[in-house]
Amino acid sequence: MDRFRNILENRHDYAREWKKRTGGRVLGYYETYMPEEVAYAAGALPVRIMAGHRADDVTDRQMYGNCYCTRDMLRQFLEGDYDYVDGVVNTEGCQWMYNAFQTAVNRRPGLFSHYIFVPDYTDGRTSKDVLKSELGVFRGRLEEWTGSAITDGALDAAIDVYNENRRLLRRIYELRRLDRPAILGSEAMGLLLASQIMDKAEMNVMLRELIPEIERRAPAEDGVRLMLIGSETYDVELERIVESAGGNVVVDELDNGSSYIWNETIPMQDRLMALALRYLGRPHSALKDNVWRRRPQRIYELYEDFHADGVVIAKQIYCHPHGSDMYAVWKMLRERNIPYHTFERDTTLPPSETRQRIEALIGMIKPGMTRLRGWSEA
Amino acid sequence: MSSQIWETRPLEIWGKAKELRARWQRSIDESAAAPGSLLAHGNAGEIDWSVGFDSLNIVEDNPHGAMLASLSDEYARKCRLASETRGWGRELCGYVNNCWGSMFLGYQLDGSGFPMRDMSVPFPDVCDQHTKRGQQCMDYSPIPRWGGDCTMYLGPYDPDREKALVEHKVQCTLGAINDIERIFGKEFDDEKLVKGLGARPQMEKYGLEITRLMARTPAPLSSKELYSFFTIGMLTKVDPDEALGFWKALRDETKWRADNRIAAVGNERYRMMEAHPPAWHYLKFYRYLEKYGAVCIGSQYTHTMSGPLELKEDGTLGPRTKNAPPPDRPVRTREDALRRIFSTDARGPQVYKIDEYIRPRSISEFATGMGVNGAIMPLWRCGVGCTLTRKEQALQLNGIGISVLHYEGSQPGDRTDMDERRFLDQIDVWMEGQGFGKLED
Amino acid sequence: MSEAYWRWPESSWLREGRDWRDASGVAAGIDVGTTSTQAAIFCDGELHGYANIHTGPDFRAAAERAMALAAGGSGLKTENMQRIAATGFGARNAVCATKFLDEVQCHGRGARFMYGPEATTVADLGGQTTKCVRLYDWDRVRDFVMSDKCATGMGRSVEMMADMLQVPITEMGARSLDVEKDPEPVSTTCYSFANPETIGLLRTGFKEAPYSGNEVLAAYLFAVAWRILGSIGKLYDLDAGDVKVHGSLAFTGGLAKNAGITRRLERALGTTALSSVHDPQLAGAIGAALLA
Repeated sequence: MDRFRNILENRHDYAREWKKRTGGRVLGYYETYMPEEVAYAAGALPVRIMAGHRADDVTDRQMYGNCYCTRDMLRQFLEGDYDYVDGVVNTEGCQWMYNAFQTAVNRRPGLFSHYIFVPDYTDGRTSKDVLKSELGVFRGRLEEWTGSAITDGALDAAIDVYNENRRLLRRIYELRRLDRPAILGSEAMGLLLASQIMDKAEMNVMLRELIPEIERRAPAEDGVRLMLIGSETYDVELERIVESAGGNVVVDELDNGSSYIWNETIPMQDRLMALALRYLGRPHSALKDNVWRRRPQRIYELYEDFHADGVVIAKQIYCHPHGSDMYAVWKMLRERNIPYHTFERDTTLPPSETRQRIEALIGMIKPGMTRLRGWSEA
Repeated sequence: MSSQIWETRPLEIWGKAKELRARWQRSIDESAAAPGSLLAHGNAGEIDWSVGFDSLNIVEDNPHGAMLASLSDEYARKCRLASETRGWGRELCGYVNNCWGSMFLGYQLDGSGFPMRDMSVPFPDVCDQHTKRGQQCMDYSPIPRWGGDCTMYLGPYDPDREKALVEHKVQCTLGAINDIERIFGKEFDDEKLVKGLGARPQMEKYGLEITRLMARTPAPLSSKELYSFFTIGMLTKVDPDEALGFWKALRDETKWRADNRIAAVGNERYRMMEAHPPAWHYLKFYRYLEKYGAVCIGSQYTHTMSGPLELKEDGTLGPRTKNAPPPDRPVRTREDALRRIFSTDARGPQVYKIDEYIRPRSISEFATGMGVNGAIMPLWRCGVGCTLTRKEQALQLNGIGISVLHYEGSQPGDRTDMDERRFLDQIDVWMEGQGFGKLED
Repeated sequence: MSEAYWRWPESSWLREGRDWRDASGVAAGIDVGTTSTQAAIFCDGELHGYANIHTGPDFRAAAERAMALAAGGSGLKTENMQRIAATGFGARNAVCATKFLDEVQCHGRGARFMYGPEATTVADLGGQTTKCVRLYDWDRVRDFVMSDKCATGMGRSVEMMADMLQVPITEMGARSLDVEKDPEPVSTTCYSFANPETIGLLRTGFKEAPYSGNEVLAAYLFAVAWRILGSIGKLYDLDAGDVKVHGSLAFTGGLAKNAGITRRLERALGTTALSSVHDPQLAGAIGAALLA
């Protein structure tokens, strides 16, 4: 577990070292719909551009009204944290993210850059065709950039590596689902985040060693089981606060959490179509949960499956996709009498204020649990 | 006005514009109440395929929300509170919060019931908050909704890439039309759709002429007037023939004014542009600018009807030729018509709003073509589409020697954070900093 | 500035004719807030004494002073108390506390004690945060909403405004209500926006007609009330119509004493808030003592 934590905390060093070791190119990406397999098949390492927690005094010249995540992503670019990145890719998603991407490109015009359109109308009759076409364009751009063809064999291998990674991380979720979870929410989320910056083949080897170790652990203490939903996060501070207040985040519905790994690519002769179907079939982000409204139902199903006792909704300030989705989510939670608490995060997660909220939520849930489950206060 | 340089005269077309707008406002309630009539939420800005349905009125929440903001501060504030308490973020678009807050309240400004939508139709638009739009009414009461996409890619026009994107838009719309026919038992009149195709390009031609006339000194119209006209035939839906007649009349009057040097602002000595709408509740700042002899010639937004523009070699603005030419094929079927509508550019006529490759360049070209001295660019905290890249655009304008004034607020339809007095102070400092004192006080 | 217009009067009280030594159990609660600190002492379940003071820069010292004032020279020391619970922003600085409790529970419990069982909606209008609580059963929390980051420091901002406008804080509310019609509120997003905008309303000159002093107060306190209304409204189900509360409403916290805020909230909610013989600022400390 410590190895993953180190990699996550020193992610820029990891990528630089990977580059040195393999001679490969690093491709930074901004959105969770990035078809990483295509880039991986081209021999590149897809690395998720993640926000940090520095107060921003740099991006004011370029940005206004953006969420802190995208501001910090741009800040890191402007300050050279991502100087090892050879190219950047954005897939259609949140406009702030797109803004961070394009502004970075404007500042470093020599960088390879590409934009992939991913339909917001994910269920349309031609949505898969248009995404397949876009993946074809992306494949062509990468081939041009690297000077070598992406073979079907390379795509198959990439799909295998990514599918295995998803399977292994799903196993981690199963260990969270236990009555007495074998892994803490902060640890699990750390693994999820690490997977977005690591070479997945390398990570798979490490995960295969780690999972039996976790399975052998003594069961965790009982605690209030919480579900975390809301805007993407790039750290595990909130999970740690929950743990320090006597709870545990046993499941999440975050774009770069469970939604990132939940479904696999089902192999098909037409590899790009297989990938298009995988990305259009994944649990959708708030922005892309459009016509059929699957997100509230998915939140409920995960809540039930993981026997959660309550829900924490942590939204970034200025995160319009989640700001727009709250009505449907609240409505579902209220209809089912599920306790929840919503709050907004910013550049930092103020520990005392956040702790107050989490303690109050746990304080609200606990008496009910005592009565229903016969748990003792002690 | 003692400092008057140019002759001024009221616009004759005002009356017609007011009549059309009032009729549109009434149509919202009427189509919700009339038996057999359907009221849909959707993007009325794109070329209108809905003309194929009799008695289908598509109303977008943008103009509805803006209208509420301009009618009553108090009511719009209540609407936004209603949205906020139901989970809609305070940092979201004021138009959205006003319009759907009114639905949550269940009553309108005059006490009548909110005109509930019967359906939500494809809404391909550039702002994320548009993408998520149409969900409020669907989440609130079960009505059918169809998806649409604002297909897009970055960089110059790419005919190969366009093909799949156009096809996707065509198929999304075809699917919605078929479903509406099936669910509501309405028949779609293909002939009407095909006939309707002619009106929009003609309106765009008039729009372009008006834009070019606005480049003259003195400007024959001002931004405030343009705001009353530019939505007619788009967001403000009227019969296509009537809309065409309106644009022709507007072109004629503008041309007459330009030829006879009739000014919108009689003491014009400073030309400025904008980016995106101002605070609808505070349009009086235009009057304040007139104290300095400043006229606002509009923005790319108010000149939307002209389509995407580029600077020609002769220094004038003209249609962007980097788009695909319309396919040279006869239009006979519904599918042909939709393909014609969408294939000019998969990214739509408002591409200047989306594409950061084009956007900063296009704003500089617009500024140059219009011969402006300065630009006022609001920074709206609560509307991603209203604010995206605004600062990058300002840097671009600074690069060609155009001074930019930013002011902050929530959103054009939301007065929450707009410090009006501070804004006027900023105007003073900005104008005086450029060497312009007040001509009158 | 010679006068501190923001300074509200500190207070303390001790039950007469009752000796704590006769009680079989003594419990205390301390609510160490960012702006004010309260201590409440209960003897055998009966309120025995309390204190309400300014916190100042030293949370620990404030907790100690409040406790001493509540004991009122009766010789009662913390070591004589069986249970002491602390709550509030600076709770961890109350070194005498044996238990730390979250504010939501404490305010809910305290409000039930102060306003009776009919109080189902409690709005704690504090110096740092607004906490709105929906109660059921006797003291169970059904839902709560805390003001988001942008609205923190509400009570403190009102104090600052008292100084800026040179209006004694205890008079602000009444003066703000003395207007013909409420003007539109100033910015309701954040006090960093609201305060300068408010001051801007005072300016005379060519740009806009100046507001009268009371109208400025009204625009400001209306903004504060409107912000709170957004939190209260989130407590209840999403039916059609204006924001409303179910059952009866109780205000706690320092701003509960500002009629310019509470009256506007009552108007908007179409209800009259419950009243209590106790100082509304004591709710947190009383709740903590009862839950200790």
